[in-house]
This record gives sequence, C-alpha cells and structure tokens, in this order.
Amino acid sequence: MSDTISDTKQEEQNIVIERLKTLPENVQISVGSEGDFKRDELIQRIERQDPVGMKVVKAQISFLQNLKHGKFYEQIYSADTSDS
Amino acid sequence: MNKSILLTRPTHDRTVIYISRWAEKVINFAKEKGDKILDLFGEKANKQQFESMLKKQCPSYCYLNGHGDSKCITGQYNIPLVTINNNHDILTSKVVYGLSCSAAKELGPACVKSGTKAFIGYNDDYIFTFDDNSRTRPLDDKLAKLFLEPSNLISTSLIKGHTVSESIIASKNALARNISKALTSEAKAEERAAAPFLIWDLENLTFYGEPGAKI
Repeated sequence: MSDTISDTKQEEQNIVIERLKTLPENVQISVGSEGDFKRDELIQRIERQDPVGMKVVKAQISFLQNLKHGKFYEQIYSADTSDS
Repeated sequence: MNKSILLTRPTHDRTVIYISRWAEKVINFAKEKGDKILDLFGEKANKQQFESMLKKQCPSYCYLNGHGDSKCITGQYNIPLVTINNNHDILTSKVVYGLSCSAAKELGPACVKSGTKAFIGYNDDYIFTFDDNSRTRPLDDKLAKLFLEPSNLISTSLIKGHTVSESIIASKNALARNISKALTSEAKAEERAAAPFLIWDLENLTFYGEPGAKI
C-alpha cells in the first residue's frame, strides 16, 4: 500500500516537472515568503521534495484535477455572465 | 462620507515590492474618491507606527501587504505587525484585507472573534507569477497583472461602497476571467503557466466576519 502511495507521489512529481520544463525562461514564480523561483530552481526543489517544491506540486495537481472534473467552469461561466 | 484607509507596504524583497507597488493603484483610486490614505511604506511598515496609526487615526479599512503565516502578518524585514495573542485585538471594528500568506487560516478567525468586522485573506500561500524582464517596472508587468489586478478589486470595490462579500465575488470573478483567458489557444506560454496559480489563489481567497460589512 505504502509503495503505491509513494509511486503515485513520484508520478505526480514527474508530471509537474515535465509541465514546468515548458515554462518560458522569463517566468518567475513567487511562493509567499519562501521567495521567487525560476523554472530550474523549482524543478530542483521538487526533486529535493522540499516544502516549496511540494507546494508547487500540490497547486499543479489540483489544477489538473480541476480541469479533469470541470470544477471551475461554473465559476468562469458565472464570471463571464456577471456585470462586475 | 470619506473613509480613512491604512496600508502597509514593505519593500525589502521582490515579492513585497511587487504587491506594494501594485497597491499604489488602490491608493490613487482612493485619493480620487477623496478618501484619507495612511500609507506605511518601506521602513514605515513597522509595528510601532502601525499600532500608533491605528490608535490615533482609527481607519475603517486596513489593507495589509506583506509576508506572514497563519498566525501573523509582517511588515518591513518580515517583522510581525499583527500576531495572534499579542496584538490582534488592535484590528477591532475594522475591515481587513491581508494580502499575505495563510493569514485567513488562524489570524482571520481570531481577529473576528475579537471584534474585527471582516477579515479577508488567503488560507494558504499567496502565489503569483511575474515576468523577470519587468522586474524593475512591476506596474508594467502583464503577467503579474493577471493576479494583482483581481486582488486590487477587493479594495477598490470596498472603497466604492460594496460589501465584503460583493468585493470577494468581484475579485474571484476577475480571477476566473483571467483563468479563462489563460486557457485559450491564443494565450501565451507564460499566461498558460499562470493558470494553476490563479486557480490556487481563487480557491484560497476567503473571508471571516460579516458578509455585509462595508468600510
């Protein structure tokens, strides 16, 4: 069981690293008080499994799951039809 | 009636420089409306001046830019300005927006329990992307704009007289529109890269207190 969990985590990290590799060089990501990071720094942090790396994995995987389940389309539709 | 607005805007690292510079747009908007601005910028974003300004000027709205965690929001050089069980009751009767990591998690509810009308903030780290080529001109950074313009909408909506819940909805809708743009085939690679973090911020933006509170 624990092997399966750790395999899943490793798979998620690999997916996020592959996604980050497509980031343009000029993009910096500010992660709160942890600082701001370029693509290669973030990839290293994910490989080291440090808190910043794990936070970015969490955000990216949550995004992919949202896409899969269409979770935020309702919000987008509501925004598109609002007058604000 | 003209309002009194207190801002803290530290400047000791790039993240806080970005959010503090973008807060200038809120300051300009409030000035146009005739509101009084109490601006603790740079070195002035310290605990002594913060507490003194709150006691003497009694602002109805506090817009706190800075780092922090679930228990505090910091000012210049990451020195805490407001901390749970230290001075969080200083925000009694105010509407507060903490553009700061995780402050909505514990500090927000504690402030509301002590009499803060409403506390707007994020349940986890506030994440944004920016263009390294614009690092010396944050206000021209179109990538950062995707995040910081919706954040500013919270303050400008409150200044216009909207309620806390209306201001949150306006901000979330603006984030959603930017997500929608970032997911189109016409979006640039850097805009597409912003989408996961726009959703992250949208999901973590929340408030405690009175939904109908105004400043």
